[in-house]
Amino acid sequence: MNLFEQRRVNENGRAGSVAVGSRAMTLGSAAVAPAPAADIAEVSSSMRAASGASAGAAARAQTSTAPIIAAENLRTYYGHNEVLKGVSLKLPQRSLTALIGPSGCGKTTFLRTLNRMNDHIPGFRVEGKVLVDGRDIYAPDVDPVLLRRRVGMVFQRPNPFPLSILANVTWGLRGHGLSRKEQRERAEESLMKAGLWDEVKDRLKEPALRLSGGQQQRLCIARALAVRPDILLMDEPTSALDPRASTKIEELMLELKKEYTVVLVSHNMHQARRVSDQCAFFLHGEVVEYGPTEQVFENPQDERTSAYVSGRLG
Amino acid sequence: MNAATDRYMRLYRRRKLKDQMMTALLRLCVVLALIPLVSILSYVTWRGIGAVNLDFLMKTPAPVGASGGGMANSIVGSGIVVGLAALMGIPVGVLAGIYLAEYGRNNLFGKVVRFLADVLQGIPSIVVGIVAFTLVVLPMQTFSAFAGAVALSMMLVPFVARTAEEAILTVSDDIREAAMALGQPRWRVILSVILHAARGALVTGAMLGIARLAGETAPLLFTALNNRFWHQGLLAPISTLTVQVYTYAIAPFDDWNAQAWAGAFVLLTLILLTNVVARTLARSKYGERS
Repeated sequence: MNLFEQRRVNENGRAGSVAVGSRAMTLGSAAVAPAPAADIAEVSSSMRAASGASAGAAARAQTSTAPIIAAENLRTYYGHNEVLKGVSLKLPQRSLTALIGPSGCGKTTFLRTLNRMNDHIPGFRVEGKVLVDGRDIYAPDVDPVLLRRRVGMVFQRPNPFPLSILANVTWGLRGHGLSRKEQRERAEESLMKAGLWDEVKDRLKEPALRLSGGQQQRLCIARALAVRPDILLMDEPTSALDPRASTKIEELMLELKKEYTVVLVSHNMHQARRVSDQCAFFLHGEVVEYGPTEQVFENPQDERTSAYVSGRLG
Repeated sequence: MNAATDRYMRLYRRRKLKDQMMTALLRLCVVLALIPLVSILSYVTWRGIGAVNLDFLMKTPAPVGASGGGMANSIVGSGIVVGLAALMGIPVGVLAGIYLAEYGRNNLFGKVVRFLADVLQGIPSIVVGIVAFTLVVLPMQTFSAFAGAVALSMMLVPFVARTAEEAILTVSDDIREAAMALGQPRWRVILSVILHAARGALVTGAMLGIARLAGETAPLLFTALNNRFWHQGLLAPISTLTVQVYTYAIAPFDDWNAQAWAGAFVLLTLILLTNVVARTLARSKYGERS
């Protein structure tokens, strides 16, 4: 996995934020003095300074760390129950941000707020702002359907449709103005990106539900990528998988974050540490700490963070 | 063996005995429940199969007093009336089911519709016949296949609506969310993913509804009425198997009674076939996990 990290630095030259990630990984359990903690405002402002924010395929070529997602004093409610109590976070482009915290702390709610998947839950309400590329996604003129084409999602349990493998990947492409051939090409491209192509290329017409759990999850990732999102939300994507399948998904995440802005909810602290560049620690609907992964794990600024990452709080 | 283990074993043996007794009781109840079904099937077959011949299946009833003839017109008539009822009732029922499952889960309108559908399912079918008589037969001044179909579809809609709702609700929210998250409008999520995943249960529900209709007599008595000839269009009285069986069964002629048994046998066979077809169609190619 360090190989991935190394290649990433070479390819993208994003030494700044990458170093954080890879250092955190190599550090692991080794007793190396932690880097001085950068405060959250500093992180985000330096990120913003790095480049102007412009998303889409064109922007992927350049190396930018501008915040693509920004939550401003975000409060969410299910009925009278306040779940997020004023969350402000800026997530930089093309990197992986892990959201960690105990069950019920609001991290999944936060994730689902980013593509408005909570809209359909009765009694759900949002206050504050979520900006994607500077646009408030809860503004009345924003169509959640179009938003979700930019903000893809992978779920906790693999959830392929009861269709063929190919039909699963091309399903989201309706209304994108693609010919059958183009859809097919897009499917191939996405399956390759998801590292599944070699395993399924000879049986694209077979039922997707016949794949193994890990393959199904990679199919779901391919399905999400086919729509060409800029942002990929992953809600504990490995929690229903065995260790080997999980490792594959983790390796995939490291690849994906070169090209996409990935937001990962994880219960697995080791995983969060291995794959993320930034890490946000949620507790009782608030962000207790947010910063480079290395700092959050090695030198947490808050007593509660340190208790959680060391396993004393859960 | 000391006293403690002895008591333990005694308790264990008593529990095991109780378990065996209850299982035997359950088996007995299953057998009891099957007795009427099996006896109906075998008795109808025994009485009916002898009178089924090519004439019975191909000919219209013989004139009163003459022997021979068949129920071909009733078999076709049943097909027409039930088919027309399905054509009117299934689309409305399925759409109502989609509404209940996808949009009306918690709102007041959904609750009211669900309640009314349940009530409607419990209404005696003779009442449905009277309603159809009042709404269709009286204004049109004629008994007709159409009136019969309207009566039957009134019974079909609530049944299909509720089974469709149940079918759609069995589709896991995982799939629903996956589809929504891909940035597709809700109607397409419902049409191409939800309905697809629920297809098996939807088809089964519709077919069971049809099978139920095929056996209805009361709603047809004064809507479709009866007819001794081939069908004469949808706006004329039409013969159906059930009404014909009823007519022939209460007639004082032995050969009519025999034909009634044959009609009952044919009806049972058709309903059985419908069920088998429903179950075969319900198997989805991509739905099975291996």
